[in-house]
Amino acid sequence: MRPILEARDLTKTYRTGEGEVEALRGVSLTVEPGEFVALMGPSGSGKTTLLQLLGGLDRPSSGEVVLDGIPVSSLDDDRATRLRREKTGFVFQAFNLVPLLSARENVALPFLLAGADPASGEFRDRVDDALRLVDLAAKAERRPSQLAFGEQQRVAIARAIAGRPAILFADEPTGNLDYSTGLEILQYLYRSCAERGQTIVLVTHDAQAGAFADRVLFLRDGRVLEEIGIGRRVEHPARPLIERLALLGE
Amino acid sequence: MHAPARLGLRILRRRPLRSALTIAGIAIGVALVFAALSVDAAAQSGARGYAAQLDGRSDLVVRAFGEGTLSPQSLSAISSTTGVLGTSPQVRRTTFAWSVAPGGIVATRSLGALTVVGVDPEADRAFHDESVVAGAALTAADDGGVVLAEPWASAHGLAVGSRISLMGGGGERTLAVRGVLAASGPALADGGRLAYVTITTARALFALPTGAVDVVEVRVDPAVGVAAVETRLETRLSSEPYLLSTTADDAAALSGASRDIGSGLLLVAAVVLFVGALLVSDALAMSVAERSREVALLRSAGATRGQVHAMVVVEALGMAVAGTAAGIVLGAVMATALVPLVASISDAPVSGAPLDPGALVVAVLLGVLVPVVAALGPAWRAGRVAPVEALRGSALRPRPNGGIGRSAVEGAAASVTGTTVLILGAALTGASSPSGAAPIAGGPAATFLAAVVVALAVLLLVLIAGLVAPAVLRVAGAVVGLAALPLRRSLGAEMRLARGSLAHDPARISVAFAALAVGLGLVVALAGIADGMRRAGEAWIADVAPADYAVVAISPVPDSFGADLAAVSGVSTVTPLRLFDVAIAGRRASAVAVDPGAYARLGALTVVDGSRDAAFAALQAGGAALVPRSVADRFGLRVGDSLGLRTASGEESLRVAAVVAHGVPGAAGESVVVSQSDASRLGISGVSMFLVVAKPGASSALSAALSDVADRYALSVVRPSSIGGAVTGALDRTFGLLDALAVAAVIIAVLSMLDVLLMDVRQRVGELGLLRAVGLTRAQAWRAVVLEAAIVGLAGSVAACVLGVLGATAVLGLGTTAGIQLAVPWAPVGLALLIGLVGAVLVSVYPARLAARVDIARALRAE
Ligand SMILES: Nc1ncnc2c1ncn2[C@@H]1O[C@H](COP(=O)(O)OP(=O)(O)OP(=O)(O)O)[C@@H](O)[C@H]1O
Ligand SMILES: [Mg+2]
Repeated sequence: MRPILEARDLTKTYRTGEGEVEALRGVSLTVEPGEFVALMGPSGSGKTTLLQLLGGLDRPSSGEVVLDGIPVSSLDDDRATRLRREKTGFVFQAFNLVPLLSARENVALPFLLAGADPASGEFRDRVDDALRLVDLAAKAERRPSQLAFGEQQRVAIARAIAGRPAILFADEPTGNLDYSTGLEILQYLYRSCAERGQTIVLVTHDAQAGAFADRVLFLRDGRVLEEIGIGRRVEHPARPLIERLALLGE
Repeated sequence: MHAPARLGLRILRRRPLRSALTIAGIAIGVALVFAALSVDAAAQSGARGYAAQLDGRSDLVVRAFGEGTLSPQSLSAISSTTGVLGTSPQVRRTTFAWSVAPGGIVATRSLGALTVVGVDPEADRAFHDESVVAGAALTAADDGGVVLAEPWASAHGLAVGSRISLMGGGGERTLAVRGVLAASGPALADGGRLAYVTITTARALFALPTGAVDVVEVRVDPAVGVAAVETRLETRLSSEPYLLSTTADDAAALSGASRDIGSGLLLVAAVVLFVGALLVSDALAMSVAERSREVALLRSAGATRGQVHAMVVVEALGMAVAGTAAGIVLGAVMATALVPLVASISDAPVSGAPLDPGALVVAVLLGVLVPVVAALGPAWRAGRVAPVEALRGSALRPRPNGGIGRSAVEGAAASVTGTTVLILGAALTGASSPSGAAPIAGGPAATFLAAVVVALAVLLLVLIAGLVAPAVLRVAGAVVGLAALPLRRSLGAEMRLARGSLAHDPARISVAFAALAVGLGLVVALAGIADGMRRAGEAWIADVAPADYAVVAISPVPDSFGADLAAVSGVSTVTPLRLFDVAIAGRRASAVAVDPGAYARLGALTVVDGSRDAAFAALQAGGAALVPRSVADRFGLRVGDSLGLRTASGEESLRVAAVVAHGVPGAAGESVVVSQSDASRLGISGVSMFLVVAKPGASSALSAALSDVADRYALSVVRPSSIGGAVTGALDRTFGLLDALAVAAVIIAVLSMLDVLLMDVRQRVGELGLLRAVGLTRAQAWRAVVLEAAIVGLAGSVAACVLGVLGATAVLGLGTTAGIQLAVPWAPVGLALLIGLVGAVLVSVYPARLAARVDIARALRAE
């Protein structure tokens, strides 16, 4: 099967006032359709940078990202934007929602941006479907400010999956949540993967979250240090992963 | 410098563009105030200087009434009045001049109209210092000589030895130029179109009786005083009608026109100040709101409230100082450019340096005070930020700016302070002038009242703007949405985002909206008032002089000239009018003698009280007068009342046959209409104006053909609208000038909109990053910002049109007795809509670009 996402020799160098920061120093990876992959690593190891390159939010200094057969890194801004709109979904750590729009409108945002009428049949069904998946159909008309933080993150997940993207990227989606709410969010992500075959790339520094993945890529200093296969399970115990990570000095 | 103060200045440098916008707003306001006050001061001092030069050492001037003269008896009565130190009698009349070729005897080239001043050279020298630049001064015995004034003489190639021919009631006389006077002193009068001759020559020229004079200049013993002499003269001069004026009156009359312009400038400056104060207060409020997290950090790190206050005030002060400095420079440039413009409008020359010290003080005070007052509210709020807010940090963006009421109060406080300083300053600088001519009359109490009224009006305006803004913006949004209907599919997302963003912080949007509405509203109102007044003037003229041309004489000509005009091919009718001065109940008024039949056939006059046919029949029968409403109101006349008219040579009692809407504009207001036969009993004969009606389809050459005939008799052909200055270009120019200045308010309003948009984009970088991540294209981000601006621009300019039309209606309705019908001034309204919309869209281009260029990766990290 053709991988849904492929990265070859990615490097990223940031220029700052004091000099250059090599955030990524040659990362290659592949993600198969339906896979749930976690990117882990200490703070500053380049997780967010890598995710942004994979999702077409930024361009690598060298190397290539191929998403669903399309070379992302060489696209112009408009095409990259459309690619994101059509083939990706994003969930960030915080501020995932446009405060002026209701939960439903936030979920429908990709359709609205595509020039579709989100209130019309097919799109409406997709939005409702996504809201149901995160159990928020009842609060669809609320503004983000009227939702709990965990609920806001669920709306973000609904938006990310509503467009049936080829791949969903999440960067520390539980970073601002308490333990049990965080688990809930991970359950929802897992559910979309298990029930609908949604491909997911999750960035986290939390082993409990990483344990939900089929496979963990461990980064340090801008390189993939280790690949840890976990496999699909109904339960997601964190201990085996923590033990593996301990061996890496974490 | 203290730490918070340093921080305040650092903040200015951190946001250079937005600081520059606010500084520009302050600079424009300061510049306009400085320029307005300076030009006003220059106009006032110019008028005073001019009057002083014309009057020389005379304290009082006695003028013969109307076309009459003062007799030798009156002159000696004046001379012998206690307290009169000396007199200088003059004959002063306007006529036409021609130049005479060397050696020739026939007048060859028309020199146009000229004021002939017949003086007793000895007496005149006691009153005026004239400086002869060529030839010699006039001597008492020189009956064949004339002395001219410099610029006019050289403009017509006349020098010592040239000969000119003057036409008067006593025939034509050729005089030799003996000397040329410098353009100073009395030679400034009438633009230097002056011919000094001996009083004997002048009497002969105009066929006046021996000893008759038109004007007597009087020098008063300071120990007795002008007022005392005035009262004595009033009892002693009882045999002939006359007009008495003091030189102070003359100066006041001269500066009147420029003072009107001055008040206009001040009004515009006040509005600009209002808009500028709104901008400053809004900018500071935004700046504080934006930094609430930072302020909280400072507070938790130990900064006291006082230090936080100081930080905000120093930020304001920094902008104030920079803006004021720039404003003073800009204002000086503006004043220099404005002086010639105002000079072209006012009667007196405008002189004086464009840098008036009083104006400088007021402008600097305003430039510093307004921003600091505007900073008080935001500073207070910044001080109230609790240290714990630094730790929360859960808001996506700084909290909205607070309620509309708060914005209104803060904006109003700043602009009220400014307006008060402006009014007081204007009153004070005006009051410091010797003539006591304050631009806003009525003393300190009235000035204070005016300030309070302005304050309340400002508060009300902003509150109303704030209240209606959301609704108006919604409607404007719908309109823009509708306009974009063909593009709906592709613009849906942008419209939704633009409208959402407008709903986000209504208070701040309201301020931009209010600024635009008021600034553009002023432009519309001024244009509307000018338009209304011009149309009223045109309607007035169409009513009293329904003709295609008016052929005007400087001094009355024989009725028979009319036949020559009637003979011009293409002329349908020629109707003679004779305008003259009368005294009604001892007060000066204007009258016009008409041929009742011909005037009635023209279709002239609207009778408001009685029947038109009966009115003209009564006029024809004699012993009757038709009285314009304004005159009827002034003298309390009604149909059937008897009306006493007095001229230099007679007195008649006429019956008021009807009240008419309007009369022909004369020298002293609208004219009472009488028949030629009644006028002749008052000693009035001849014609001062022929109304010419062209045949239908008359060729365009008619005007030239009429001019040919008119030139022969020293008449001039004009459009009826220019009769008596009813419709003057000066009006249009004055309002044009004010309108041009009012655009400054619009510029500030547009700057304020730019500020709001920049702030908006800056605040929403995170949101934009998110939107871009989930599929918003650059073009869509760009369009959303431009659409937002277009909605505010449309709403603001529509509100401006409503405000402007209402304002113009109020002013026109209050200002005049003449029934001015208001029509919507479509041209200015259209222009305002265009300016509002285009200005807003243009100004949004840069913020829209910023929005389109948001670095997604960085924006997402920044959160
Ligand atoms: N815009 C930027 N300019 C300069 N350096 C940057 C920029 N963005 C990231 N970096 C640097 O690149 C490196 C990788 O950053 P990145 O955010 O990808 O790490 P991370 O693994 O996501 O860390 P964390 O777990 O703290 O989120 C860091 O050293 C960081 O300081
Ligand atoms: Mg990160």
